[in-house]
Amino acid sequence: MWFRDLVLPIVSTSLLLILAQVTELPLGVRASSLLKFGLLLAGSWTGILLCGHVADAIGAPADHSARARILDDRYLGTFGACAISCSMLVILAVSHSGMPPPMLLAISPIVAALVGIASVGIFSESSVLRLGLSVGIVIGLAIAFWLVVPGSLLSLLISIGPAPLVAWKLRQDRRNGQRVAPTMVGLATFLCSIIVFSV
Amino acid sequence: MLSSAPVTLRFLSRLPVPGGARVDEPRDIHAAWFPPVGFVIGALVATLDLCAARLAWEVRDVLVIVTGIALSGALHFDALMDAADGLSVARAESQSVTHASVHTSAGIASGLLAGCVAWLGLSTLHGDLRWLWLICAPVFGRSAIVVGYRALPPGPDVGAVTRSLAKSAHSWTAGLSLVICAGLMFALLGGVAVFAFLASAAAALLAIRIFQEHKGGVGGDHFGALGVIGECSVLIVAAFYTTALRA
Repeated sequence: MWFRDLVLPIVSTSLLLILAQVTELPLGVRASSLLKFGLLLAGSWTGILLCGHVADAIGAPADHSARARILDDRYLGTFGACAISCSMLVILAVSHSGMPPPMLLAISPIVAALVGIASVGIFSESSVLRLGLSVGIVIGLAIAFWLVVPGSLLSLLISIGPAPLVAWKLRQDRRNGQRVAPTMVGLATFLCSIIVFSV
Repeated sequence: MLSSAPVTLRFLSRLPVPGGARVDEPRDIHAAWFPPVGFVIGALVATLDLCAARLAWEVRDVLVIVTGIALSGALHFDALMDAADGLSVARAESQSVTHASVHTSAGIASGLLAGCVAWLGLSTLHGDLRWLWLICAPVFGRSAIVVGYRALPPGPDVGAVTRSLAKSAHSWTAGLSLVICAGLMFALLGGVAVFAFLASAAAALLAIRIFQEHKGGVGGDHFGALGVIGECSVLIVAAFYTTALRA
């Protein structure tokens, strides 16, 4: 269930928020980009692991059945290894640069996860649930952003820009019976948001 | 005992160690030489780092990591990725996946994670104590492997090398080697070396327990992975210590 996918982003966001708020921490912990890297990676770990398989499936020109077989394969090819490498390099660069405002960086994992869940609503059987869930989440996110960092709404909109495209491209893909689109939408949103917040 | 030193060095590194044409026997590899081999590798890495003093810090940090991996022949790095592969699948398939020559996403991500953590840790060590930490990390990394062998017996289906190392790790010479290396690092780095040693040992014990819980019996790849886990733990301690000193 997608509830389980929320655990790591929630934990990551909580700890990053604590790190952003607490001004007195022992042993120079607050200044450590290692902690930020670890927490950001933890919040996006599920997406990082899955993006390799999705990249292999998309990168190989194949019909639907071959694509499904590649998605279910436990081993990775070159595209998959590159996708994981690039994702981790982005997180490494952002955490090392110290550029993104701490609050925005802290909420990026949970925001991305919620955007991914909103894409679940798109694929729901019930049209009412689909619309309600997606609209509710997006409105909630906009309000949260407006409250947390006024003026960051534009950054949020730019960050979730790729989400509909990713959701559409992967709408029919599954790995081990589970849809890959929500997790990939979440990862794409996460990576875009931390890049945009670094500007 | 002394004759096992070059054999162990040949096993743990890609250094051109003279040893004649005969094939090394697994029983000639001795765990007591693991920390000293770490010292040799650390000294070579520190020397290369000093020679690269004119380069940008970020590039030097990458060179340190690449040199360390190259000197060890990616032995522990590959072991870490294999161990992570085994963790990512069900217990029944763990052994076959661990021994496969390809990697799962978890294995690749774990290898990259170790590289990133090492790079981030090194990025805080741009000061006078850098060369000492460059020596300390491989020493305690290899010591973590010995600690792992002493803490947990290997599974029943391991190879001859792992069985031999498990036996030699319990010898008094291996214990003495751990004490001497820890004492040497304490003399060089001071009290923080104790934290670094404890961190690498604790990380190794935690990791080996996780491997055993999941797989039901640990093998050579699991013990080998402790080398990277121990080194990364030392670099994390070094990063926090150095950052705290500057704060």
